[in-house]
Amino acid sequence: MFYNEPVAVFLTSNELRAQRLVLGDPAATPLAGGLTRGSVLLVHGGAGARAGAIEALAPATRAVTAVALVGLEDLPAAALEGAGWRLEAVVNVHVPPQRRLEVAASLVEVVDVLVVGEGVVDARWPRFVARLRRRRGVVVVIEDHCRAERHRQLLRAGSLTTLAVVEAGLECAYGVPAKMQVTLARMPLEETGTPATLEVAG
Amino acid sequence: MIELDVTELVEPRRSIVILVEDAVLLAAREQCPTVDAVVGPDDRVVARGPRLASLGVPLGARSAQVRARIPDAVVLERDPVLEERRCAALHLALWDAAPGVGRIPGACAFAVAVRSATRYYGGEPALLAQVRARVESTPGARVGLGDSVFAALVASLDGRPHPPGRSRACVGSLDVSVLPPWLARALETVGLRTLGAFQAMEPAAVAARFGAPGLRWHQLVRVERDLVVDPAPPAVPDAAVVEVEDGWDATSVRFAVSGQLAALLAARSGAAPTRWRSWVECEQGAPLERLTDRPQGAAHAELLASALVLIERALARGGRLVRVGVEVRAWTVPQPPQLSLTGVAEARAGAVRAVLQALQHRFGSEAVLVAALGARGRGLADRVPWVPWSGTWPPVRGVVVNTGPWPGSVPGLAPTYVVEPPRPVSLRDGAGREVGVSPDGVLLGEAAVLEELEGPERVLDVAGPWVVRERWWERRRASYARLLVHTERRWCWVRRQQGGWWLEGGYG
Repeated sequence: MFYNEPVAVFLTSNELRAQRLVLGDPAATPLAGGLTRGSVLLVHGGAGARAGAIEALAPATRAVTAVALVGLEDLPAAALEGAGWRLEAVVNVHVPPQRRLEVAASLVEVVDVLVVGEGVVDARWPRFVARLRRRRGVVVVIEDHCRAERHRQLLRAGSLTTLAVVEAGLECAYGVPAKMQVTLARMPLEETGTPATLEVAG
Repeated sequence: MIELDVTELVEPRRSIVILVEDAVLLAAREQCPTVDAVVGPDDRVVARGPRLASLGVPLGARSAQVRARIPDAVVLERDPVLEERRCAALHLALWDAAPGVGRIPGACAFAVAVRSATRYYGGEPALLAQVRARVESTPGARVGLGDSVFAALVASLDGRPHPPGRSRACVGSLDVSVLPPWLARALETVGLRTLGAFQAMEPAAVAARFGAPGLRWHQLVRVERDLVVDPAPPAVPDAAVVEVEDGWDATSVRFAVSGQLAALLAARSGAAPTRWRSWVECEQGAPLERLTDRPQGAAHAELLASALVLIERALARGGRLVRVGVEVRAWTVPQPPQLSLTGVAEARAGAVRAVLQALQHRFGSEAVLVAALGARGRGLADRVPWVPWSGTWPPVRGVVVNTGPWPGSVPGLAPTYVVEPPRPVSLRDGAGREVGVSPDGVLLGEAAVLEELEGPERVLDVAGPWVVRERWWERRRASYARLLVHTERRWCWVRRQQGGWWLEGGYG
């Protein structure tokens, strides 16, 4: 049964590397062997966070029944297809902003992976995470713009794994973007922030 | 007395232990408050009440012996299900309070790893207070803190938390009677009365006299090794419980309950609920409750209806809802799953479908979107458009996707965000003049500054423009030029249309 599975490895360093995602600190295992059920993965650090997150999650979509997106109305499906997502398992939910967390709480009961935008995190987040821990779901928060208040709420709720963008670059061929390279590193949230400089190759 | 299976030991870690004493007796008191003895399947007493204890009837006595001493004694059979239910409730309360909660196998006891949990509460005293607050409503619960799980277990019996690094001394001051009877009796036989004396024995001597089990207890008492803790999450009871948030209306509550019920039923595919309890708690007034029996088994709609009736009654009474729940007490005998290509996963897919249908019912068909392969236009979001979900996912395999270039198509990497509708921006040259595009697709001027809501950004490079002419045969025709702009902060797509510049999307 879903709840009684001991540990689900969704993201492994090997899979991430195979997905062109370079992880910082190669000596360590950045996700400690994967992402456990009942926990939250935050991908943040400004430009590159969204691209890095969808690259990292692509292997997970091939092994699960359903992946739901909430609060990511501006994410085009073409980006997911380009990253290698299995689109037959993906559903994008568009609801009013004040109802997003309520809907996310219902979806986390049934879907394997729930990906939410930064607007979903609010003062009710700790209660949501408590339910997540019981239901053994996996939630990925993609944060386009870092906010200290949001980080406090995420830390207060606990069960958090953090991946921060260390470096992001866009490679162009004949004037059009061909490939985005993102380097993510696992580090505690209190020590991270938006990188001061961003190297973009093109 | 601590009697646990200690066949495997691990490294010690400072922990808080929550132990429920007399868990068997407390569970039996839920059935009959005046119970005197609880017997196991072998008809021997496993827990005794105060009347029996005062008469000196030992654990392990037969029920006939109990009745011989007290003719009107109330003797109940042990109910493991009820015990587990009580244990699970405590586990859930602790699981919500702190990470790193594990159950000590063989007892109604839980350990909280201090190292990880103190990060959230700012110190051991705060964590201890938090744990005590969580268990204060649980009868018989005792809390202990020590340098290992075993030391914390001893501290919970002793009632005094151990300061860091002092557990060995604290444990050593206790009597050997806290150990299992077989070991306590053996130690008393050789004249050892305190755990301190047991700690002082050489391991080789302990191994020679008491064997491997004795050596393991010796390591536990010396705080050199520790008990294994099961980190599995609490066994969730068969219940759908919704905490009603501020501002929720009846539709929101119905939606939340419906979603949880769908997940609950999907988890037990092949069985149907035959008895369930629905309840509604309000801010004022007594909670409303209803027990329903359907021997032939009920479906999702019937369970939901039973809760909705209570919700309506509570709202008519004028109170604010706090909690709504449906707890399934009994199920039909599980049937073998229906033969299907996907097996049990089909039940989970059914739960997903039920929740998505509920979402569309509430927020409209446009609320749930899925990807449909095949470009539908030349907009950045049109390469793989999101379309309303119709109960199934559009087929992906076998779809012929035209990826070849055509006028207006921009090849390359798809952007990671699209702005719908496009936002106005300003693209100017170094002298502050707006950059334009000629009808032939030539950029008029050198872009130097891109200005949007977040302020001006220095342009480092541009690529394009690509001229797009859409639906030239229709009245809603459009003509614009698309430009890729690289600023000091980002890469983004802008378009020149109707004399202005518009932000279309970018890479984030």
